Amino acid sequence: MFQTDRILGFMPVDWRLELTRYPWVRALLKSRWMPFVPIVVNLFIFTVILMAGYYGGTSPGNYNFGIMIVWIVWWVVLMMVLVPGGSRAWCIGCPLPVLGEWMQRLTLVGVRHNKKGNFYLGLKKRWPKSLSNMWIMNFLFLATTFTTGFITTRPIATFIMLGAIIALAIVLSMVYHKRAFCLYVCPVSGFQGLYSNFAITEVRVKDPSICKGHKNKGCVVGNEQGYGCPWMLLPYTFKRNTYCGMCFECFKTCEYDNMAFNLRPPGTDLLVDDNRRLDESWKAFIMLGISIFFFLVMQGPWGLLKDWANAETWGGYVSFIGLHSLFNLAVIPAVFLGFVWWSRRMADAREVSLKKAYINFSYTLVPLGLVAWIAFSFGILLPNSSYVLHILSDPFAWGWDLFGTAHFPWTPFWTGAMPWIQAACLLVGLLLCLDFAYKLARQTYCGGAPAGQEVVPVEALAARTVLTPEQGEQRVQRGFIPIALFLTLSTAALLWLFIG
Amino acid sequence: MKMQWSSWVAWILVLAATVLTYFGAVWYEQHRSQQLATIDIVTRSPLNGNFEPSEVSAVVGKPLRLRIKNAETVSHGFAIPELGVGIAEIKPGQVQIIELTPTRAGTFVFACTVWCSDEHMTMKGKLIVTEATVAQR
Repeated sequence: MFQTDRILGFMPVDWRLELTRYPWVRALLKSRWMPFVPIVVNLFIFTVILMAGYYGGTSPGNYNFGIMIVWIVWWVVLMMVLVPGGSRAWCIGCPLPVLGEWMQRLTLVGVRHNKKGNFYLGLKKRWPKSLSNMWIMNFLFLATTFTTGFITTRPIATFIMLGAIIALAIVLSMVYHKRAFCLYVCPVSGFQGLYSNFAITEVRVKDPSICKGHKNKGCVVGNEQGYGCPWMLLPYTFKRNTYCGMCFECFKTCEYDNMAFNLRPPGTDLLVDDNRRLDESWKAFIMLGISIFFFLVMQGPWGLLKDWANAETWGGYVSFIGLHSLFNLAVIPAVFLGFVWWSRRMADAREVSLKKAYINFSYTLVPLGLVAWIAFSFGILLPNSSYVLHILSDPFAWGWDLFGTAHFPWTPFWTGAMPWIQAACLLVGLLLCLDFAYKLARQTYCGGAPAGQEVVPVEALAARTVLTPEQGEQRVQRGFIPIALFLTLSTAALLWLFIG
Repeated sequence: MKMQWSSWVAWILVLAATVLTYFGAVWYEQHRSQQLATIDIVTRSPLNGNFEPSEVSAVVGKPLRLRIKNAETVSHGFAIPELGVGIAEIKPGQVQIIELTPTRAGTFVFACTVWCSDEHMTMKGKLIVTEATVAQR
């Protein structure tokens, strides 16, 4: 099972199907109407969401269009379909930053280009280097979850939150260059970026040698056909999905049609040792922790915790924030650190720094966190999805019945099967986690060499230590055991939590 | 020239998705409300505000729409026993509609019909129906 070059022993890591080899797909991605059209569709939906949030006030949100679409439909579709299937597919049509971007460009679909390059309005300041990471997104997303008792139940709270995000995106786009908001601030962007490492799609260069010999680099600086990468990346160097917002500008600007949109096996980016960082590790910890806390607050049997999250008392609310933060920012990372320390000790890999091992193994939490969110999402979807039929017919609670479904009664779907579905998700996730953990153990302790080849730890090279294949394999197996134990115990805890 | 055409289309699409959606929905609702006199009633337990408003006026022979919204996290009900109309349950966050045409003048009590709190029995309001004036006829 634990083959270096195959996911779960049967999906070759380097398998790719280039979807843009089909002319209509390439034409679609090269068109300036993409992603304008999905954005306009989402603008319409968000207008209705904001109206429903405003008119819904403080009423319970289960019959409110804003609450239902944002926290049931969008969140579930995001976690179950968009991120694992389409990477940052949500960012393609996200309407939150577009008002700012259109103000920057002073155009909706066209390209303003002159001799100096693409035209942008605003101060165009560079984002501070010290903040060029995921930390702001980590803390902002965590802070957003402090309000989970309100934003998921009170329409006006959702209205305020979305309005604040749109306003912040506009202000930042007028001060900073391009999509600084999406890249460094948006609370939703960070986890999408990290989890898109697990996605089955990617934007990559077809032939790197073409880019090497090409000096104009339209994908970076822009040209008449499109804008230089709005996410301030170098598309010809893409190795991971994390920060690519999938705006497809590089498809438009590339003079050689050298960009590709590929189908691939899940999780291949997790094995790419390129710019792995602690901020991304903490994103993985936070996302796993929040999935647990969300379950406890929304679906768990502990009323006291619900009262705390709903701020029934100030003391309770402060306790909720304190526990929530402590659990996500300190407890999970600390426990994981213990297991990584044990792994490194078991592998007897002192030449590998603890930090390096810690960061590398934290990426095993990506599949674990994602399946935890998918399992959690089933707990929202199956009992509550029938409300969607109601709110489609009466989006503003004005007594409308647009599609004749306003009186559709609340009807839970397949809730009897929910524990089995959740258990299946978590167990499949565990298999994937273990598979990636073994591959990452090999990468960390033996430089990633496939079985049967001579293995040389990267750091050991410097120390002039060369292991035989047998020694290398043994150290990988020993180092893998504590990480596998952590992942198995975590999955067991989630199973206990979700299905009792 | 082509760019100008596409810019126009883009602007129309964006305005349709935002401004037109907002004003279209508000206009449609105003149009509906004008067709049939609509009164909004918000239901809350007595300690949290009771029916709001607790007095509603109507005119004999004039069709009336009561749009009743439950703004709490417990179920409420609504009934005007003397006029024989009511809704068995209004769930948290739900909006229910009652359409009626009063046929006689008088003051009619409406009340919550679901045990919602210890003060449930005091959750009441009045529908005051008057004879139509010459102008109203």
